[in-house]
Amino acid sequence: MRNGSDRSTAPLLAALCVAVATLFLTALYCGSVSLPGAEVTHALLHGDDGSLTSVIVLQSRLPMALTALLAGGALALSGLILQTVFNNPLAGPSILGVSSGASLGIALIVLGGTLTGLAPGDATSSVNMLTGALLGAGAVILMLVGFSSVIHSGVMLLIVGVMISYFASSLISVLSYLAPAQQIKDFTIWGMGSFSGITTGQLPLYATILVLLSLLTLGSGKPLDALLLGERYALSLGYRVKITRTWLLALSGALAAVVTAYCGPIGFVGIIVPHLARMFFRTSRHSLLLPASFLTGGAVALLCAVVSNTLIADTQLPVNVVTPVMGVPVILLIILQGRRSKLM
Amino acid sequence: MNRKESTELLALRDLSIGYRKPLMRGITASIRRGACVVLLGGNGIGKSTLLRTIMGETPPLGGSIEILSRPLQSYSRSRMARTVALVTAGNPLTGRLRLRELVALGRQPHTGFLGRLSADDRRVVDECIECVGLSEFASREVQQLSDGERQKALIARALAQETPLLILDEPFSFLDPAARIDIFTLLRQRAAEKGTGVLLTSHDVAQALRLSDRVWLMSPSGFTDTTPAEALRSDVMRTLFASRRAEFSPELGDFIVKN
Repeated sequence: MRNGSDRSTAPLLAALCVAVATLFLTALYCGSVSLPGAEVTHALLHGDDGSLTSVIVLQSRLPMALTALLAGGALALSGLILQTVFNNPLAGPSILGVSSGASLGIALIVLGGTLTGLAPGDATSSVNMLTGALLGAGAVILMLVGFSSVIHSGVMLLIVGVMISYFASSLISVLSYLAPAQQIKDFTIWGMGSFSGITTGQLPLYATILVLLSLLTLGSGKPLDALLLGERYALSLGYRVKITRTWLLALSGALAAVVTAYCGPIGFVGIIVPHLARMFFRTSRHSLLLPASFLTGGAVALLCAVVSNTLIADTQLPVNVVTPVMGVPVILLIILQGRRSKLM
Repeated sequence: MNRKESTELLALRDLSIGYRKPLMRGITASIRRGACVVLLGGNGIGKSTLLRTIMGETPPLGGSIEILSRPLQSYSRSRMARTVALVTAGNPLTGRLRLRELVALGRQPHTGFLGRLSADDRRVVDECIECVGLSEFASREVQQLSDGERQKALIARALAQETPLLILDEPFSFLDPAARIDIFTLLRQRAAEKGTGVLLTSHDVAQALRLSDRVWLMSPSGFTDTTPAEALRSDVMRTLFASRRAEFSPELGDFIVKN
């Protein structure tokens, strides 16, 4: 009888893992091109035999599924940290401007070639994009840390986040206006969001960083639990609150930045998934909520990937066409539920 | 170590509190083991600021604070968490935390990096829930509890920290008289059993004078650390709240409408 809720959570976690696995396999078997199931299985079991199916499955669908799984999990963790640290159920990397900061960083790299002196080919290299995204997101996180020490209203902080987003978009527009057409096209496509942009060559770096950041976050349940009751309680429980908050926010920013660099600004996953996890698991305890959010995030992103690849035959829709359709109803539900203070 | 030092949990000497501008000067007071102290004073006089200063959230503007005969500045955050537990004013958001999970948060200063509870930690958690009489609600979400039950749950969380000193900021607001007496009695009992020192702020003057061991009075004329019996006899109570409509009645031990 550890927490009264533990016995019922093991089957739920197992069910969630099954759902993730099922969606992962669906993403391998169903895509914009229809392939015979037996051939897909053959490719998965016997590796690359030079056939078209094996190339599609191993070099396109498998990296895409892995990308989506990690991106969804990472965005969910990022959102959960922001919601807990800011004590705000509507916080998330996109609404607080973290994703916009990352986008601005990337815009500077991709579009601002004349400023940075990077050749167009170098500009879209993953390491440069990653650096730009981390710097941009880091700057926004620092601004949020600063603002949140002065502004104590959650709503006001959200508005600050929205303002930061506007500001970033405006700077991105200026950069677009000055940039050559090809780079604008690169940037626009990136901005629509996609889990398919990562090549098998880029995957190891992307996966390693996200797995490390996710593990660090999964180990941060204790301070996050302490922050649930607010800063004064966290302080009285022995935390140096400023340092703890900044560290957690840095983790959140890094998670969102890495995903944004490789997949574009993916909206809604970061804000809705922690709520779905709280709803399924009926808990606010982070030792459970963190893994639950990671898995739910992976499942949601895989679902978005499958839908965006199969909704219209022979076409891959941008992910950001699909995420609002799923995200907006959930957010409205959260706001309606908020009247009964069932939040967080 | 002489006897006085070993029984004194908290000692304030000529303390000045405030933010840049002092709210109150010359605060000298102490709390002994097992004592229940109520801090009384009007709104905005600096009660919460005094608590924040003792908790180390706000630096003192002068004077000294000693906890267990050691200066407050020498305490690390984690040592402080094992020495003083806090219940803040108002209702913190508890999300979907269940009562047992909330109380288990109090064990954080005693657990390792990941916060795993040992068998011993779980025993303390269950004991503290039982101590406030909420065992049957242990698996309920805290936000589903009544105001009185929630306040008890927050107190159980603080008790689970197993600190020698317990500080509560207005634990009785929103509570009916029965719940107030209930909680006050509970705190007194804990103080007597474990030797915990309890410091709380309240606006319920009558109850404070009847149930506390000592009262700290913060009035515009200054700070007084005294016993309830002496407070009744003294003039300080009369100046405790600046009001033309209310006056203190020593017979009733409470404020009444001025004739």
